[in-house]
Amino acid sequence: MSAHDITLHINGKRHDCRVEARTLLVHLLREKLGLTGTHVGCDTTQCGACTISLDDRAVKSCTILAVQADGCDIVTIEGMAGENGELHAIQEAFSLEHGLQCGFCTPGMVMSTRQLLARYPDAEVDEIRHQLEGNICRCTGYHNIIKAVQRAAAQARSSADGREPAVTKHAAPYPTDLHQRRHHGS
Amino acid sequence: MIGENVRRKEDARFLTGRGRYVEDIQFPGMLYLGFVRSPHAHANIRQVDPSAARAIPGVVDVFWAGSLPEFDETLPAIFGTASTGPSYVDQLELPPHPVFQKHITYVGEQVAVVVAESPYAAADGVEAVKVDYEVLPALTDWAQAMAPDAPRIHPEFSNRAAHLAHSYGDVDAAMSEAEMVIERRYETSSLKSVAIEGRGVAARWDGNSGSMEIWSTTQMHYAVRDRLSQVLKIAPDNVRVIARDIGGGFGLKGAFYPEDIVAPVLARHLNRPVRWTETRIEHMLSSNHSGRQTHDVKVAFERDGRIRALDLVLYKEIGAYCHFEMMLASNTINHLPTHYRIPALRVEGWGILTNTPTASPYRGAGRQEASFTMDRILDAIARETGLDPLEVRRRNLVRRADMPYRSGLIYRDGVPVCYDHLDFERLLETTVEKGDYAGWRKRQAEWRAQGRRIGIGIGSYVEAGGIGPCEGASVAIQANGRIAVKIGVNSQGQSHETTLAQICAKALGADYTEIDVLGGDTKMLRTGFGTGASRVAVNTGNAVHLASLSVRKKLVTMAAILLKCEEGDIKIESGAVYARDNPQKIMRFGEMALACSRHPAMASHGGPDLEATEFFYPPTVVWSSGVNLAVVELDADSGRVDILKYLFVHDSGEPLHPQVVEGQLSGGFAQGFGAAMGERVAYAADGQPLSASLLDYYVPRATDIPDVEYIHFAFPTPDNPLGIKAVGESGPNAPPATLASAINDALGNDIEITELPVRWNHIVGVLRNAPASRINAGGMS
Repeated sequence: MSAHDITLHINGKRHDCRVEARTLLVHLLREKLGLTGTHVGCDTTQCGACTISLDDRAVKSCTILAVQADGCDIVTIEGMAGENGELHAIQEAFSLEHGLQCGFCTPGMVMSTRQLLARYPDAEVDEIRHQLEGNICRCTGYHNIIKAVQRAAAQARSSADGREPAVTKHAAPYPTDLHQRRHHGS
Repeated sequence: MIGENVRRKEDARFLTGRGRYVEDIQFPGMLYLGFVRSPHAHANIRQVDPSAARAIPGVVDVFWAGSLPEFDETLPAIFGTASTGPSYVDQLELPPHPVFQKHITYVGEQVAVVVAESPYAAADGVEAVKVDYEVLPALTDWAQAMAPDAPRIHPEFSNRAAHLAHSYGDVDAAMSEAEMVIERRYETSSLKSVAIEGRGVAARWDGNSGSMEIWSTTQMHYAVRDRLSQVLKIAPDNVRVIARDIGGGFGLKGAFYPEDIVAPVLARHLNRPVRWTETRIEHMLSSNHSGRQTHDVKVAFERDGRIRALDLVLYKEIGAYCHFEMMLASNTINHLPTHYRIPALRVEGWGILTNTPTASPYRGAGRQEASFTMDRILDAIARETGLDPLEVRRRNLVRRADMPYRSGLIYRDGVPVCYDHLDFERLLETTVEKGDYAGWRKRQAEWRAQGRRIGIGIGSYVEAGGIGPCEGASVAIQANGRIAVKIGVNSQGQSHETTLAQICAKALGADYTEIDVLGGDTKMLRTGFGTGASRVAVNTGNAVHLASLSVRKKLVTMAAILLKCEEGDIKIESGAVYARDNPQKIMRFGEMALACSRHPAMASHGGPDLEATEFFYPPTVVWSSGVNLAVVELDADSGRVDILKYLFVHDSGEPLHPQVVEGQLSGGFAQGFGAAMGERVAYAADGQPLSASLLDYYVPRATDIPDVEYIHFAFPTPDNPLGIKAVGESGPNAPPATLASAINDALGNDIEITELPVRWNHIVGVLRNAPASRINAGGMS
């Protein structure tokens, strides 16, 4: 198995790593770099527990090789709180609205919400649900997660005046069209 | 303090990536396990060839049946919260369940384990192990497995592993006298908990003390400790099981699994720490599922809709092994009447072995099946009598005046079922009023004339929670003023650290912020029974309450001595004691703890610490209840089900933390929604799983779940000192019944929905054959 030297910038810190070609980014983060806040919940890119920010895009880190992330800027859940440990507005909103129970899907939910708010600061409920479709939560039924995202969005809007947004908007945002609602059922 | 939405203590670590789940555990020198699993549902292993696997760099060794004597040990036949008293079971012959064996009885069963220096090397090794199987015929359907000439799944045991029976009232007389009798078969599919964290175990042997440390995703860490102590032949106190942060459980993690033995046995054998974590495909293949259940009912009733008698024969697929007796079937029976009178009842139940993993509780644990069966029966009566489904429910309701109401059922703790301090009328009438039942019926008729199909459904549930035998709590004030509350249960997301701290804060007069609730570790408290069966708030909650009161009593006695005043003059507030008449005489809790630790008066108060341990023994279970209403619209072209309204009305006693209560309901609702709309563990006839990943098994997404309106009641109960009821399993029970009822109402009389999940092809089939204009308005009548 060939080894590769890669450089990642994670939560503002440079990491030089040697990885096997087949190493998934999530496994590098968790097993080698000790960033265990990013979780693995499925084998098939369904659950979103492993979502991180890769060059400001929410990416499922279980479906990208570590070598593909060479040279990228990564933010994980460990990089969301402030320097003195104060919770990010999204984290605060999840706590206030009880948008988490067991906490396992939570890092992925927070990282997806980070992108959601950056791209769609005025998102309504349907758009929020749509944007979180790639993150499965089995505890909350999404009820309070939706409320948390709405709270975080309102907070971001109210504090937007004269302040830098929490996340820089991507230069070429993804299309905003809502896909047709999936049919529930077998 | 109790009843307030205080900030959850768990949140900060979970939100910042500082949770510690089993897969986060890394010890120096750790080895990783990978399991070779059978691709056949029924087979004998002729040979295991590990040579190619052993040659792979990083692979340490391979083990299988016969490799170590501990692998012949059987998993416990009865585990966790199985019956504590007499049940309805009159026959129970369960095959032993060795850790590794040569006879394979389901796809995904462990055949061998590869030990490696990294998880990737372990996966490589698993691929390289060669296994030669003699494939045998498989049975995945109870009817086939019950047939007299069916091949046996375990040669020494009948496929009919368990039987139960119970009856009250004169069923035969009612059947012959009643004006109407109907027969139906209701089918409920097997479900998978699909907690986002799979199962896992990390184990580390300490040769110095001869003790084992285990990090586990279990919901029953004491039961795991006790079984491992037997397998490892060391004292229970030398087995420490830590189950701290668990990524959801929902019952599946309340069972005991082969990996729970394999990891610690290998950690000791190899004298290196080991870790195994389940992949999602392993979860779908090998972890327990709820088990399909079939209900054959015969119902006698009068033309006015009143039920006279019910005869039920229940068939439960229990998988290839059974560790839960007939608990799920008995739960279904005991929750079957929900809010309604069944004057005479006869039940018979079969537990049937099949070539699938073990059936074990999944949130609701038989209650969902009960609600579905009962509400479908009530709708069938409405259909047969021409009455409105709501009217049928009103006519059969157990009313306030009937309470205390003894149905004739006996709970699995041996105590007769008794409904009291409940108000089904109020729940139903609130649902009807707030859900605008009459208005929706009117709109239904108007909109049908325009070709729109909407349907209205009502479902009800009861939830017996808080089963014993007991739980304990140890409360101690430490010298720095912080209060430790040690408990014998662990959390899979239920907010114990918050709600139990609220209970302590109120009873002790302490600051909520000064309290640390410590659970999920067998070293915290010597004995506990586990998280499951919606039992923690009632059992542990009341134990924390009692222990806090005991510490408070010590505080008052010692404060009177130290502050030189009468006990009656002592006040306790916000973590301080003071003399009522002289606020200058004040001591903080920490000062009290320090002062007491060397005070001779503590000799008569159990020793130097301001500490107390209490256990709460509930007399029996306590009943929660609720009614759901759904209004759905079917898309005429696609058959898509749009939910126009969903109302969830419930009583779960005094809420400790209203936000947490609603969170439990909304999470449970989504699981019930999934069961109605697509969740199904399915097997092909040869035993191959058809739902082996999240690509195949439906789990509701944020886009699927409708807005739900919750209406909370808190009917007081004297059943326990805190007046609380259970809520953990209230959420999922009624949604399948309610949604099925609403969808059926929208489809009209051309179909009777009798199975879960509701099949899309059934909906589409009716829509294709019956344009909306042909359907009569006005409900199912």
